[in-house]
Amino acid sequence: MSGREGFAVWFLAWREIRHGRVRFGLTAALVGLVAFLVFMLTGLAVGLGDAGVSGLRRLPGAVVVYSAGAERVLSRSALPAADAARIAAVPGVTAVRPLGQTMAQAKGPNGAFPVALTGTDGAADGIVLDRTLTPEAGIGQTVTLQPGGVRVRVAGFADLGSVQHTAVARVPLPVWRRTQPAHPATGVYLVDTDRDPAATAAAITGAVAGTEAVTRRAAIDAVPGYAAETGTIAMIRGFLLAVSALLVGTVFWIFTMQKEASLAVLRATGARARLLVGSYLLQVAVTTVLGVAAGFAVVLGAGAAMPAGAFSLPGSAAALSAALLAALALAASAASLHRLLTVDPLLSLGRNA
Amino acid sequence: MTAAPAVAPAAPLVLRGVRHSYGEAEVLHGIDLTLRGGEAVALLGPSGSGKTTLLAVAGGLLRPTSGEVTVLGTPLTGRRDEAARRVAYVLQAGSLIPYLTVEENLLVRRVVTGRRPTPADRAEARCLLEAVDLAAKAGRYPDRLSGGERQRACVAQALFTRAPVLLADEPTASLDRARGRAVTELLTAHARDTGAAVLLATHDERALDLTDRTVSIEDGLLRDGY
Ligand SMILES: Nc1ncnc2c1ncn2[C@@H]1O[C@H](COP(=O)(O)OP(=O)(O)OP(=O)(O)O)[C@@H](O)[C@H]1O
Ligand SMILES: [Mg+2]
Repeated sequence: MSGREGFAVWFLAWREIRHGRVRFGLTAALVGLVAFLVFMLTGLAVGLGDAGVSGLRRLPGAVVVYSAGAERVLSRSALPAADAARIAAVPGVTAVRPLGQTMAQAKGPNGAFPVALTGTDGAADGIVLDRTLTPEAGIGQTVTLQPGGVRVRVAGFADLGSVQHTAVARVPLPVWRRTQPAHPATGVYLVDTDRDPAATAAAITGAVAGTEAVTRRAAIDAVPGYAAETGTIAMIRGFLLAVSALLVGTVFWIFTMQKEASLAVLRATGARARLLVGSYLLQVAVTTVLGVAAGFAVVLGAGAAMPAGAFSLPGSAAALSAALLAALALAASAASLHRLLTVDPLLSLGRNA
Repeated sequence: MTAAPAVAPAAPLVLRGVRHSYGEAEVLHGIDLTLRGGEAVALLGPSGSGKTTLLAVAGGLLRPTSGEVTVLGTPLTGRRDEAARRVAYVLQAGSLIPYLTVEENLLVRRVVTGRRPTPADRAEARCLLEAVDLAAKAGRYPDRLSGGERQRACVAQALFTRAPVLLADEPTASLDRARGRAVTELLTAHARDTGAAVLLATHDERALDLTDRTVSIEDGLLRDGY
């Protein structure tokens, strides 16, 4: 489109929006409403995902080895020390680290609080708490872990994340073991590999009896509730994206039908079809962008009012949602392009008798 | 009308052997018509005789079934933007865009050709609106005009395009006698002053003294006078 035509595109698009500001405004408001919901769900999905598995995302290892029958639940898995050497012998395995993780109750000076207790090799003495637990105890104070009644000193705080909505607390593996009734050597093994993680996982499962190895991704998906929570939200979000696309497509389809007569006059008096198309797409873009921006502004306000942790909308997730909304709206509005391209200038003769 | 060969090639509008049918029914049975520059011609004919059809063919909105239409010696092609630049049209059904003010409705005729309105364009538009007695309503939207005001706005629109040929389909139909005459005078003056050719379809025999000559259409054929 030439620069000269650019003015005509803008002129027609803008004058029509100005004259029909109520209906364009309402359309933008509707888009904004749906966009708000999409952003909200995106933020909730990220927030829930974080609360469910961020503690696992921060652990090393491409493969997680559970005991067979643990059904990929970290707290149900118990493996003997001897398995470490067997796993290390599997081709492709470059490192094997034991990890125990169970839900535990910690009692500090300010009362009891739940933790996702994580025991690792080589962890500092004492207990390191996730930063969100700062109000529960201070550095140097003692907390008591149940079960087991193990007393540990708070060594510090770090961004450890959370698992199943419970903040992570990290202790040396022997401490974790003492909280376990059967005192297994470890819960699971985290394995590094220089090969395809899925292949290595299969190889470990095959080579070491009594184990089930899966990729880290599969392990995260297996966290109880995580897949169901994020799956449900993803589905609703998908529906909303479709609703917003249909909404924009339908509204602009109706707008286009309603103004067929003036489109015919414009064609008859010298407007090229691509001018009509350009002006139409500009209107769709303006309406969608305004709507999405309004939805985003509202969601920022709403997000600030939500409890910490439940809602998290990083820039990348927001940008992806906004881009999806805009792209789908434009795609749906393409339904009217054929009409615009084939407007019959003869209609301008208006002979209806 | 047989065109004098010496004039025909450069004449603003020439129709040669133009026929047009809607499906089976032929409405124009071979029309020959030449409009010279600066000339305003009235086209008379009863309702349904084919005036609108003839104008639509002359303006390139309808393609003739056979025959040829040339503007300033070159045939009209199928391209709407091309044809519209060469032939301005006062449409019988009106041509005001509802979301543009009266003044913008004039400007848009140049805007769609890729022109950005200059202050001179605006002044010219105002001047034309003055001439059709609509200066006070330049900022109004068409739905706030009376039928006659709308028609005068359409005439101003066509004049604003500056095309060498102007076709007007019953531009005075909903005007009172005085305003009808004023509009017809405006169109004939436009022909005289700019050298454009004006073809004016009308039922109104009262205005015939203002035009340079009259042709009538009946049974799909054109003849001089009425
Ligand atoms: N789209 C069409 N399809 C079929 N017949 C048509 C169509 N448009 C017009 N006609 C017929 O062609 C004939 C000429 O119509 P046209 O509109 O050119 O007449 P007109 O002289 O302009 O009439 P009026 O004075 O009422 O405006 C009429 O008999 C009409 O019924
Ligand atoms: Mg007619």
